[in-house]
Amino acid sequence: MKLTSCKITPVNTRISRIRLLSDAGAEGSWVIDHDLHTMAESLFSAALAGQDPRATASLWRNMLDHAGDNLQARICAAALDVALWDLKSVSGNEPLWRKIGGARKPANIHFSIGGCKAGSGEEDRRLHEALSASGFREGRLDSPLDADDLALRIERLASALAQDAQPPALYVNAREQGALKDTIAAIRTLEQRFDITGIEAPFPMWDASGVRRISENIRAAVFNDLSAYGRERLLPLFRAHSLNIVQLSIFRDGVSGVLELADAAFGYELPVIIAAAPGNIGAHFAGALPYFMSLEIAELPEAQTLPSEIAISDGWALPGDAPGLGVNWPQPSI
Amino acid sequence: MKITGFRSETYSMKMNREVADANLPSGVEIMPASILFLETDENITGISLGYGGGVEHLFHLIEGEDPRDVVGLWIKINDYLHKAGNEGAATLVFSAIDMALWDLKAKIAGEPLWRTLGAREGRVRAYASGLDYSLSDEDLFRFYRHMAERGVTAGKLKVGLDIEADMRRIGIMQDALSVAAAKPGLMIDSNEYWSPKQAVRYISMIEERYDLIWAEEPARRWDYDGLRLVSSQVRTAVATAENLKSLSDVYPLIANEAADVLNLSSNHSGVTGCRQIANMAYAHNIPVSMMNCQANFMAQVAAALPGHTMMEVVDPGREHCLKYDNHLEDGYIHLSEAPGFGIEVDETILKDLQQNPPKGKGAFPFPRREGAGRYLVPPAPGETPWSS
Repeated sequence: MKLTSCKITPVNTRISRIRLLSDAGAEGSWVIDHDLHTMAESLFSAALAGQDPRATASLWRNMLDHAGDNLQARICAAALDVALWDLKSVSGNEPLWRKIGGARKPANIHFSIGGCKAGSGEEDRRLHEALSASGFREGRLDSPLDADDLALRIERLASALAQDAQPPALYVNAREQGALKDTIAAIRTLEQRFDITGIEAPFPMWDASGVRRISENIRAAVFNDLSAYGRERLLPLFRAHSLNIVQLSIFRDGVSGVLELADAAFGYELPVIIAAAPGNIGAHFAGALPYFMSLEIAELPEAQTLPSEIAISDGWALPGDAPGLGVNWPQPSI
Repeated sequence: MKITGFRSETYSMKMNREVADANLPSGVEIMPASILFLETDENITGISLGYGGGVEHLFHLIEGEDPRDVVGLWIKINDYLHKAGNEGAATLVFSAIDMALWDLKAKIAGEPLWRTLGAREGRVRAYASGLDYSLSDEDLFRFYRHMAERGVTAGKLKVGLDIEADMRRIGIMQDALSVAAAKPGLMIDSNEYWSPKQAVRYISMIEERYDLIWAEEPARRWDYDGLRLVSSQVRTAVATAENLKSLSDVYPLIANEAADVLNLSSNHSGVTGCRQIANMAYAHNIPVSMMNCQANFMAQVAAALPGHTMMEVVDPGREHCLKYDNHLEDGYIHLSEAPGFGIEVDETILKDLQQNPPKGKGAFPFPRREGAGRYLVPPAPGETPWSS
């Protein structure tokens, strides 16, 4: 089987669909930002054209060699890798979770309300979504740690989450904005009121010892934001024992890189959070990563950019049996 | 597709030549082996090669499951072994099951395992390893020359008990390999016979005459302080880990920067466990090297691992009842398009080996030799063909 071409067509005003076509008729798809069309096409020509799409491990490294230190090229490589895995799974008539060897297992999930103002219409809508989808036991919000409304927002999020089984898990993306001691003090103050599960990016990820000092001085687990991806940026954090959870994203590491890095994290017994992606396709990883913790959900199934076969109920996401990623591609817009 | 049953066969074989190391310099020629057959409801059988029985203790965890879910089943078995530990005989069974599941997964997809694992080609660079402590100088030369004639450019010598003899024999290996490369790659393996400080002394002496790629197991397998000490005091890379059982065993070596090369084995909790170690090693810029095995079947896995450098080839003749489709040429193991591990079993020969166990010199597994880690006990006259 050989890859013959890469076709890119718009899905909406922001993202496009990448389609990888093969001489065997099977194809694989994923999405990419409009801005990256040209770069994705040239990476396809340089690293993938004429290759056997099943050689995912080799092609991933081949693409990274081409991408070098260029973040946009890296994002293209990750998108092409996801499409390759879609193709590899579809041609084997298997869902991705099975192709990567996983069992069909519900993924523990958390709902991300992002960054909004407390009591704003936007936040009320997001909290209502989390409530109405009922069953979310975990939630994440974005906020600088010195924001006046942070405690109020955490309180509102906590009370919107299901209380039945256990105290809801709370994650705060701190956006690495404060000085080290201020950050520690702010988190400790929060921790007097709330039981926080994890703090994302409390400090710049390039400062591995600074991130470790934060972790050593707070109760919550510290995890990376997407500025730390790939072995190049995660290795200093691994070596310094800076992280207590590792967050991986298919937008930076594709399926191949997520599988590789999840094994590295497992060596340290670090749980893995999978960052949100359209269609919630990260649910495929739940049964295949040795130390999967939680999948970030940013879009509920009824409000999806990309509708998919991933079902969400009672705080769990379950992948279906459709071959590949299980994305139900919309008709191309004009 | 569902797993319906299993059959586990154990047997002994007589190799074409002895294998030996510092712990058992007189060598063995009888080797125990086992084959696991995993049966499915669709007439496809998964095969793995290992070293033990006891599959019945874990089989209930995979019975009725789909073999394509192999990583999920690995997690299930690993969790099951939590309290007792993934150690000893349990690891051997765990490994055998995982490997047979991967064989099934690839066979169901109708492809060789190297392709299932995402490799672009079924080709793995090889190095020659004589397990040669009991070979005479002439046979030593013959072995490495034979390998060099097949394009192999690097070799690993068993050393440890007699530093003068070790030096001479490294030279013989180098001469034999020199027809394949102007500067053959040289490695040594002392199989944990030395203490860290003995290793520093002896490796330093060898380095005065030879440039070594790696020194294998220059300290105990778990001793990350000792291994790191050796690595910091010699120029040669420290290779280790073949006798560990899983990623959790290897973790202290990586976290403490104690190993420069990690030796992978089929007994590292199967293909899945082996790949976990390779992935963690890759994230830490540590090359990995697959250990020798019957019919070189783990080359299927090595072909797909990131950061794999070269695989150990011993070729002592362990394939009596195995039919396989790979060969050594131009210094590489070349794998075919045969599905799975590409191995079939000749049941007639297997039955014959079981009914008429071959006789010969054998004391596998190797015990630890007197003096290990403290003082050298050189081979007595007659213990090896070269000792006097």
